[in-house]
Amino acid sequence: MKELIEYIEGKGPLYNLNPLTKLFLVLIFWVIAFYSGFHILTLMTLFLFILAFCSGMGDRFMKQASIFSLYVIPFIFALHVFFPESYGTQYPPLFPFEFNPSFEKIYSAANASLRLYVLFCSSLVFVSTTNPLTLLRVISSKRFFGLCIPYGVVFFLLFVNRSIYLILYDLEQILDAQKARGFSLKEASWRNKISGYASLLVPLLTLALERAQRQAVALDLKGFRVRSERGNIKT
Amino acid sequence: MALEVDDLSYCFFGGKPVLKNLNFRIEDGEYVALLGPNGSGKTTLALCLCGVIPHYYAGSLSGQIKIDDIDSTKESPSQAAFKVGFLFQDYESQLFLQTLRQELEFSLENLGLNVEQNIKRLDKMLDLAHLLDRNLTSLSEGEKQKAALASVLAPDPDVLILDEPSSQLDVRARKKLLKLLDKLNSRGKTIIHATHETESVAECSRFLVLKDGCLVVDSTDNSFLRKEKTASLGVEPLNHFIKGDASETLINDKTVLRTQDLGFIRGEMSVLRQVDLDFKQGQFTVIGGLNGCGKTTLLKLLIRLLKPQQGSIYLNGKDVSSIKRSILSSRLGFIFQNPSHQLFRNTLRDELDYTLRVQNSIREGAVDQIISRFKLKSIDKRSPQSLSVGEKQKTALASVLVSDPDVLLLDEPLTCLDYEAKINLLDYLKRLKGEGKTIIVASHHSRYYINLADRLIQLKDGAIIVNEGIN
Repeated sequence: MKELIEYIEGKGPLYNLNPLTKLFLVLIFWVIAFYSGFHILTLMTLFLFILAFCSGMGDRFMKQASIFSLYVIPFIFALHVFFPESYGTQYPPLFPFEFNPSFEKIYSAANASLRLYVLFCSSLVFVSTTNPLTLLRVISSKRFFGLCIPYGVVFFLLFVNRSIYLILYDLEQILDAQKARGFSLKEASWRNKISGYASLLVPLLTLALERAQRQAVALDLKGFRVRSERGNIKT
Repeated sequence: MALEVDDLSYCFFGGKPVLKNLNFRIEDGEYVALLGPNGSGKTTLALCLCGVIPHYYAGSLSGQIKIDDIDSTKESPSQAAFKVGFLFQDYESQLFLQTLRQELEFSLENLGLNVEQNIKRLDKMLDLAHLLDRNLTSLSEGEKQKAALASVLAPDPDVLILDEPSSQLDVRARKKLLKLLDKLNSRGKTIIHATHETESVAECSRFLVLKDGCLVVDSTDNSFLRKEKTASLGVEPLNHFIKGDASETLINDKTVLRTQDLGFIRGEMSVLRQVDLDFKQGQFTVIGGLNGCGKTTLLKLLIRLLKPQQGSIYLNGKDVSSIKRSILSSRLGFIFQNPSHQLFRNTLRDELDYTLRVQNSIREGAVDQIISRFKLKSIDKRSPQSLSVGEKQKTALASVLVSDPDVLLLDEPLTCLDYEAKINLLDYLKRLKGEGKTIIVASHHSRYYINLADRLIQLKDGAIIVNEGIN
């Protein structure tokens, strides 16, 4: 599972593109996605799939995209169809569930889901083909719109990236332990799935906190931010 | 650079004293072994010496630690980085970036040191050229540890503290590490090596033994390590083998588990190749080999945590791929290398109950029986994550044995355990063998099982190179 968000070195036009240019293109892509309708969004999704396959990350992209479409998209879709917006009403209902699916609602739900899908897939293509350190080097330099983001903030982003990877590693280990004891989340019923996910929280949190403590100590021992004059990441 | 500990005591917030009135002085260039059982205070002392305690942990510290007559408890750990380097037991926590070069540049830039010159110095000292630009995730355990050691040595500290550095390493990697430490020591570095593996520190110039937070031995002579009485200190005597008799059980001719032409490929690398094995009922098998030879992969294939790309596995003549997960797990018990990953329920009792629940094999009194057998009654309401390493290992074993499996698979079960816990675990295994269980252990510490095992399998690059009985 951890491989899904990890940058793995590869060859292809997307890997070779300057991270700043890539970031800029992704932002443009997002803006277009926000202002586009169903047809353009479908074309954008198609374009992303073609791009992923041409960049040699086809299998991985398919796996990432299918996980997202299986777990998140149905939720967003259902939310739009069955939970109508109640903005502006004087007394919004406590639980605004409404079983009244109309064509408009379904169309709007499909639009919202596809938009989210495009945003997610474009981020995936970006994360999977961009070396995080190279990216952070770029955004902490003066070239990044003259902002020169402080090194501490940039390192924090790098740290978060690494931590997500390690938490997913722990998650894999615990899921394996559950399987070894006879419980597989994949094969479980929905009720058991929910209790299975809930039981992951305590060990995941404990392991993450323990590791965070060790990493904080390790950072200090490496003299992180010991010199106040240090500015940008230079590596 | 002399290091002086003067009447040092420490207790964590709300806890019992972990270190009690310690007094010793370590001279420049000494190679000190810090020995003692789990929980004796070795890691706490190491954390005090490098300045992490009292700055990072809530607790009360009294006494002084002087490095070159400067009280290090008053300095921040970052300032101490120039004087004392600390290599964690979990060395992966010390690596943040993608390549070793980036990691070294990071440490050196933080401290305002010349990057190029210092990388050259480290390369000369540790022979790093082939590792510098490789992705850290692609390195072997030994190489990763060398990378972490290099990053610790980047600011060129005079004192190097290592916490259980060889516990994850195979024999070859351990030898390389010890040679490297000798080399560093001969170049004038003071080394403090905390471990419970006596074998790794037999050639040290001085031995400090901690027990319940007190310094009970401070000796320059290693002859005390050969005596049986060191066991009472919780320290493993040199060349000591746990007693066990392979002839105690009569191995049944019935084949319980069989692999046929088993193969597994990860990425483009063949992890296991054409593995044909059969395991008889009541047989104790040790699977040995270096780190990365395919031991853990083989065990994970047997319990179906991985799917083989080639070949089949049969449990009592039935293909395991056709057996329901809960039934397979009730027949094959698997103990992970790191028990923290295996325990995920809120209490120890719930942990044991969970196994029976998911395997649909709830039996009246089964949990109580296993709790009393493993003497876990006093901690059965505690969270498994709050237990000590030895207790966690015991709980993991109990959580598997509660369903009474026929075959027990153990992955490096002795890695984190001290001498007493090792003796206890081996004693359990001996008893289980006596009950006719089939036991398969993957370990690079094969010597511990020499009197217990009936058979040794050696793997090399995913292929079987030795498969023979032990007399």
